[in-house]
Amino acid sequence: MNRNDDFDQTLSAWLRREAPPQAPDRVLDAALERVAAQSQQRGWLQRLLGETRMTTLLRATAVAAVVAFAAFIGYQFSNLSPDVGASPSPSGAATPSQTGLPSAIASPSADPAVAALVLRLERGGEAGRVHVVTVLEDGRIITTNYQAAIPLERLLTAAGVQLLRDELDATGLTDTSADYSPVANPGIEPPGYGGMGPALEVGLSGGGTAVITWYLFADGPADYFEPQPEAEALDALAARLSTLDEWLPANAWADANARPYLPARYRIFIFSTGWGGSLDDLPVESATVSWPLIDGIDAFGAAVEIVTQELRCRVVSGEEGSAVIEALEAAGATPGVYPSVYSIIPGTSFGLGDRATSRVVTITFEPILPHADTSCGSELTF
Amino acid sequence: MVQRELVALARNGDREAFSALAASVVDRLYATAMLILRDHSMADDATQETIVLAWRDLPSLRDPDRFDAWLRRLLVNACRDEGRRHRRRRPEITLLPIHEPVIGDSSAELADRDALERGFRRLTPEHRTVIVLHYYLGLSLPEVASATNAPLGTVKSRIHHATRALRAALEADSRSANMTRGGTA
Repeated sequence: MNRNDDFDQTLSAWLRREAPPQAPDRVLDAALERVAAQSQQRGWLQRLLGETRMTTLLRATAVAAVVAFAAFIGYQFSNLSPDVGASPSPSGAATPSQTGLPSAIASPSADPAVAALVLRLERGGEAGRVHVVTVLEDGRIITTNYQAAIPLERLLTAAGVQLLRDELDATGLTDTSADYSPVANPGIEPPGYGGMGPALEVGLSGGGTAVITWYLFADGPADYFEPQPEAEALDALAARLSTLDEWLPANAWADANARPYLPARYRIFIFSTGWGGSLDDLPVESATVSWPLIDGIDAFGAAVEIVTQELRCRVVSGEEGSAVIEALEAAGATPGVYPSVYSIIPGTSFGLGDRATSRVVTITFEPILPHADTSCGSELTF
Repeated sequence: MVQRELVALARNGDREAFSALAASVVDRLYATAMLILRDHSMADDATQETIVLAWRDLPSLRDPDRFDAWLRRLLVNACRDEGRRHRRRRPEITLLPIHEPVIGDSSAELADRDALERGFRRLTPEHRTVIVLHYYLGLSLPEVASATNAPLGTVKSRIHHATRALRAALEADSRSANMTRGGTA
């Protein structure tokens, strides 16, 4: 044994002795007390459907609302199989779901033409960035508020859009792409900092967009990093953009009534995993679904590189997504919380059983927001 | 129920499963926080914060098998934040002795412990963090880099710097003891 080994062992042994063998009870008690008052941060439909205290009636209503708004789109796409195109809803009027409940949506935002981007803000976090607000040149404003169940859409006036542009311009920081990460002071070895900071994408008058990212090191003292006036200004801007209701004047809103956002595209994930429970508890059999797309369930999508699980993904149009949802519903599948390798996917999940192989297949529909990334897999990194 | 199942249930909002999960990890979290922060009150806060954040952000954990690594990152961040908060409140962190010497320790061991305690106390929280993660939790250097969100080179540098400081503390203590023995012979 050499000196290094001796030292390593001495140090390890000393640390083990120094470590308290158990935490005082008060630590766990206090933490769980705080947890009891804290909701989880999750995707919109998962939040809607997964809340354990949600009543059956609420759950059914929520499911009905989701299915109803997805069913609004009646047009068929070219790669739908012929039998699916038999009953389109050319008027775009709401199609009642099989539950028989009326649609909860009076006037969905079905326009697939996407206006130019004014801004899109994503907040940072330990597990990546999460959408906060998107504003389009035609005044459409889509917000993802985790206190609400689903992404919501409202409409700004031209003056309201201009007010937001003024907010951007006032910072002087949104004309060009830039990253305002902390810069260590000379001679200082800074600590690492986890997660990602916010990102703001701004539409430019000459076309294209500028992407501004930053990370405000929260503690303030300049012992590690240089002062961050840009990041502070951008944080203040992000706070303003996250609280539009608090400061936008009434005349900035063409329609302040929020309605569910109806996506023009879905990202569909298919995840297959072994079923540990009784076969009687498996959801509806996969083979009973009249899959409406040319690629069947087994061949649908491309494999996504993530851990060792079998996960496939494909982006489809809103109409295709709607057709698949209708087919699943027709087979008796119900939205709910099923095994998923990626629970942050903010979409509705259907489970299908495969009794022959004792597996459950989870099909998750993630609505894609305007100007958002439409690829598969880019967000699937830890 | 195995941890993976608890994580999967808690991720879907099962508070009972999360409570069981938290109970299974709290001792390890607290011990790690205590070693890094060397302060009961700060370790309390960092551990609590880690558990609350774990509950809040658990739906964002895509792979339940990565729960431990993910939780370590939360803890390291919580310790870092707690350390900074405390630095603003007080000019210097008060370092408390955690345990009384165990009966049966030899005088040489006690001397080593004192020397290590003094050397450890002089390290920055960032250096203490890498030492604790590597030598107490047994993480590899890439794992330490992941937990601290620092480049591997930075982690190696911190380990090198920290162990050199601790070795120096031990050697200085040893020299001092030899001189004392020599002087009294």
